[in-house]
Amino acid sequence: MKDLIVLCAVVIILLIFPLQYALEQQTHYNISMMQKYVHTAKEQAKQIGEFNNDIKKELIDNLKEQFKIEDSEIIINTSTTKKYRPSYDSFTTESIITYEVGVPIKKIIVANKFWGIPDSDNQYIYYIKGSTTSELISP
Amino acid sequence: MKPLLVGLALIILYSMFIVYQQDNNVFIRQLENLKYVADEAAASGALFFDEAEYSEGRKVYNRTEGNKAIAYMIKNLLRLDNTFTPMADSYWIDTINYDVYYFDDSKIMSKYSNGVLVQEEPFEYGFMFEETKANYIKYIDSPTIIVTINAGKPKFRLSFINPTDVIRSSGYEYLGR
Repeated sequence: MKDLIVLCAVVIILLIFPLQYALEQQTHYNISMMQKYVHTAKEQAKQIGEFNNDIKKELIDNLKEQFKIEDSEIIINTSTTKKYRPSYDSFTTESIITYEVGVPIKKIIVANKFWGIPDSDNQYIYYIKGSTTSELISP
Repeated sequence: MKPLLVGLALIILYSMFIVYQQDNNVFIRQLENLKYVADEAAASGALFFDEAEYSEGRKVYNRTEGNKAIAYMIKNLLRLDNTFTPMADSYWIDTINYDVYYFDDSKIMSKYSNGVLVQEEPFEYGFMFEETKANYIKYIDSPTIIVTINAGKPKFRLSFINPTDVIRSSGYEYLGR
């Protein structure tokens, strides 16, 4: 009987691991897709010198669908002015477009309440930050 | 007692597996990011070329400005300080090394390692270039910049895992000839 009770307790704890594995794979897949979406948006912004509303909207739509979150939860900060291609003979940081995209990851550990971890402590915001050189020719 | 011991052994084994899984997933994403960084560096370097040569139909890269742009992008995107050592918020641990190869209409191939010229030799278009560090092969038929980044060892928390250096290459080719 004692062995049975111990076995039950051990099995319950062991059940959490496959669930954690599945969650981790799901989060990894979502973040990998986010990486691709941000990269695509960056390539588009590079051509026109900025992250305009169309690019941001497409990015938000993709992230919203991927992470099943609301628009308001997505953070997008980019350089605010249009950047132009540097001259052919002089590198300058004025032609650099910067961006920062963040999405909430709402579950880090499965069965968090089983371990006594509140939902508020079981989430974080994942950021992708970067920069690119504008290829938009100066007017 | 036996179920408890077996259970504890399994918990330790599963924990190690989860740790490895997380580290490996982060590594896969950083590997992809490193490819993007090499892409971006090569593309940024290709923006600079000699206008006088270009007006005569030849594309000759401005290596000085190209190197500045490449170094800036690598530092900025991998979060490195001026000595190319990763800062606290960088994923990488080791000092980053990078090579840049310029092939253009000057018909001189220039190789720079960490911004320093280490090799110059004549070449003709229409040959297969092989970057041995990254096993990167590219047919050179037009002006091209190739950037290879050696980011050192990735982070794995399990001490018995001994990964090799992570190296990625990318080429930016000018197809307007």
